[in-house]
Amino acid sequence: MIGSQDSVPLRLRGLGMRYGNGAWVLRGVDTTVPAGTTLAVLGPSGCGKSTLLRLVAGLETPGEGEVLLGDRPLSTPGSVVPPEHRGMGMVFQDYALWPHLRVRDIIGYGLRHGVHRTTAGERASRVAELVEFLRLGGLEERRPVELSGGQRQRVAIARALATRPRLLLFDEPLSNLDSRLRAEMREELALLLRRLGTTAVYVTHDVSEALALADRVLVLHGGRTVQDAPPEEVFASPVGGWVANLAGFSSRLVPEGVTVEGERATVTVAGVSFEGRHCGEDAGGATGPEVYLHPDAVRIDDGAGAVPAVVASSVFEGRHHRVRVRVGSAGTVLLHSSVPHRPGDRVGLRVEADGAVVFGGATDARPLGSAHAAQDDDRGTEEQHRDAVHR
Amino acid sequence: MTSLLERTRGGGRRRGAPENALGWAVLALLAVLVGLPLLFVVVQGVAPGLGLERDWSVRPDLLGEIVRRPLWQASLANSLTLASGAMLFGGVLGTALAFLRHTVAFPGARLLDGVAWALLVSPSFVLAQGWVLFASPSGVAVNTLGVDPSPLVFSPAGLVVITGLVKYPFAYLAVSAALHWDDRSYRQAAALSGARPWTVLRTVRVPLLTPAVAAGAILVFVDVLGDFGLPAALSAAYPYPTLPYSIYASVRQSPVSFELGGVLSFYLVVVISAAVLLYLRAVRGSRYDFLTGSAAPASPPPARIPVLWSGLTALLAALTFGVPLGTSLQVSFSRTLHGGLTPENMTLEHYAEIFAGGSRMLEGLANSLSIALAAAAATTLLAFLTGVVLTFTRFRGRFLIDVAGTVSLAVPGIVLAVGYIFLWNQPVLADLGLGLYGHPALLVLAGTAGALPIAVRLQLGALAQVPPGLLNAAALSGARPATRLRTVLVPLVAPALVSSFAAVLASGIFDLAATTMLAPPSFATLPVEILAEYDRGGYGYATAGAVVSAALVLLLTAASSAIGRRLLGGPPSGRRT
Repeated sequence: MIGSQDSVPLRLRGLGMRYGNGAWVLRGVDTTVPAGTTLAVLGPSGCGKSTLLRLVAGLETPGEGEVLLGDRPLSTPGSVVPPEHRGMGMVFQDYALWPHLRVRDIIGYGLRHGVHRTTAGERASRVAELVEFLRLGGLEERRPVELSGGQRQRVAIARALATRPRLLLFDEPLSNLDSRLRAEMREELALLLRRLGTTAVYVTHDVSEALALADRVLVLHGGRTVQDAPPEEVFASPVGGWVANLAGFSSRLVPEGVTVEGERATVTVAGVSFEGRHCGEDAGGATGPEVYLHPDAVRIDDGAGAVPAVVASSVFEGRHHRVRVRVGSAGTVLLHSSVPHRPGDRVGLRVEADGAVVFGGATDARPLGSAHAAQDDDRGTEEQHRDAVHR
Repeated sequence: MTSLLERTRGGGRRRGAPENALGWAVLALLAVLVGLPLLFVVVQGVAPGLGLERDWSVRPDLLGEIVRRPLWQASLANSLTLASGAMLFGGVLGTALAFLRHTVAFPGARLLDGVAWALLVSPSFVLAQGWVLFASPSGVAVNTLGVDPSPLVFSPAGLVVITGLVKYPFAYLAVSAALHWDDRSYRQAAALSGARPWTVLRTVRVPLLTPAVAAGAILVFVDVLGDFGLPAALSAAYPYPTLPYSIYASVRQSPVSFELGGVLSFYLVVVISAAVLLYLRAVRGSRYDFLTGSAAPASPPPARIPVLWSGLTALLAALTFGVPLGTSLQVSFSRTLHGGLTPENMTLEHYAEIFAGGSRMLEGLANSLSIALAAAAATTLLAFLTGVVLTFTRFRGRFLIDVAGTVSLAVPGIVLAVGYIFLWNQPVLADLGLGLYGHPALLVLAGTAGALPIAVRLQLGALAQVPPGLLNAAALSGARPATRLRTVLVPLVAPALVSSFAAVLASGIFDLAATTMLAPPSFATLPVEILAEYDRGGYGYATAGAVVSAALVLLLTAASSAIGRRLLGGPPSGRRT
């Protein structure tokens, strides 16, 4: 048995933490991770997701709320069970492999120096088991500096598993790998988590990791939960423009009008209407109607009924050309095209119904050029959204 | 900032207990070792005799006496003259040599580094004795070379020059460090903007280097001002009272005058503190995190007339290092000082005398070695724990620890020793059974306090390179705080621990200020024996003692550095995962 003997749920109740200056870095996080499932915590840097993980690990003290593993409270503002007594395993962002130790000693560290020591024989057999499980055979006598990125990561996972933790924590473990290795390790980790059946919390800023690995996704923004739902729901019905952006809907337009019928919305942009999914009001606080487009769901089509646009830039990226077009004063749209386009070219856009999510704006249209009009610059949608939230 | 030691034993739940306990323990030790002695120095300055004499009184007016009492005034004036003069001369010399070292390549350029380090680690009283033996009217220069430099050397200007020649390495090394990393892109950017070479030098290079030059010069000033070895060695040949020497005389020579010791220590601390503040400001301005990715170790072009620079370097090495140490070496092998460098005058008798059974010098060496070993062990441990508290905990009193570290950097050994006399003579301590005055253990405490700032700085650099995640990973693997320190932190910073141990040991053996002030009369120590023998005119025996001790220190340092290299050789390369 590689994983824990018994799976337990993790519960966070109203969890929050403040900086020394009194500002809240995390506030009111409530969620339950059922036994044997994986929760992905998704958000950009500075949203509080690493703080959340450190609170669960016992490396920080909460300013409010509590952390419970099974029925046992582990952290409250007044008392924190030390990390060495929490029975958790953690895979760190930079792996934190001790440079002076060899792979064998790193994996067996907790069994030798930790609070639950074992005999040398038990330790050796547990290390051997993990070495085999994580395909580290032949590397036992190496030091971290002699390992590749993927091998380091597997050693870090082996160490985290060594003491049979009841909860596994992952702090952006793939962020240091190149894109090819990242995709490989993502699949490997997904498989691993299924096989282990250990309750796990996985922190990431990469939506594809969250969607691939988690049974449930907690989206954090500005230290608060903005969505806590299964991955499919986060993708299909993001609760705000910011989540939509994280889920890959990276272009934001401010429509002239929106008509809502149930879950469908008809959006008018530059005098042309197209359909999208209506996801209610923006939980991030944006007040006017907005439409977010996925780059794979927008194509250039000069036929009748297409949204008129002007090419702003076109960059060859190997598999496709990454094209940015300007749609009047509604905003800019990013799309992928099989052919190059010249800046200044006039083109038409067609949007697939699944490729647009719409927030706000019941039926009324707002005049163009209002205070909420899209900013005509090249900043990312996320940044624009942040501005909108803080305005 | 990560919290390393924030948990209690056995799964307890009180937050921050071990890190706070360690923090308070470190703070308490620093208070006893540095804070209280300094407080007593300041108090004695305004309330002389407090706790030491029956009829003490509060007399803040004593501080003003410095303008009326000739000895006090002369001590302050001499100290300021010597320190300022050496700062200017040594600063200019050190900066010029650093520029030479990093501007052109020539054979023997590395000798400049070697001489600087050798001067830095040599005890100043040994160097000063060498100069005195060389330049005195009956010295080596007259007897061997037939010239009498004494009128030149034994004058305020001569002393400034000699002191500058001994202390310039502070400026040389500070400026060298700044010049070592040469960021060509700054100069290239200026050149491409149309600046001529002279303009590039004036507008880019010099402004970038100014803080390092200032820092180096101020270090010379601070070190000269607090140095006791130089005036102590000079006193026999040329009376030139400085603050450290007058402080020594006030409490160790009859008639004992605590008010003099207190007031002069007060002024010494004030002047040095002001200089250290300036130094810290300069250092803040010379941080090299502005270096861009294109910075590379400078590799200067070959010199046009290499023989000129090689010759100059050899001359400098002969003058700064060869004259004082060569003189000491020659004298240690000479029957008499006036016999000159002749075969008849050569002898091994001084060495034989030292190694003869029961020699005072050998006893002093053994005692000094024991004291230095104990102080090196205590300092290394305390510096490690101080570094841990500063680097890996959120202990609230960290700023106080930082202040104590900076303050002790500014306090000369002689003032610290005076503080120890004032503090450990308090009758209340004797009543408590803690009357350590006159006990060799006090030498260990003073040695620890004096060496602590350097040891902390040596270790802080290494500790700062350890990612906190390595300790958190150990915690999550179930390791308790002490286990984390032992199994993760100590192995990673072991080379720095060894360096700090070696540095404290080497300087501790020759610690003149602390031993001369605090050693009990019957307890022989090496520096006191050398100085006493020298004052008695036993120059051959004194210099032989210095040579033997220097050889021993070199041996110990080499052994430590070999151990350090072995430890460094552990992980194949790099410290990071």
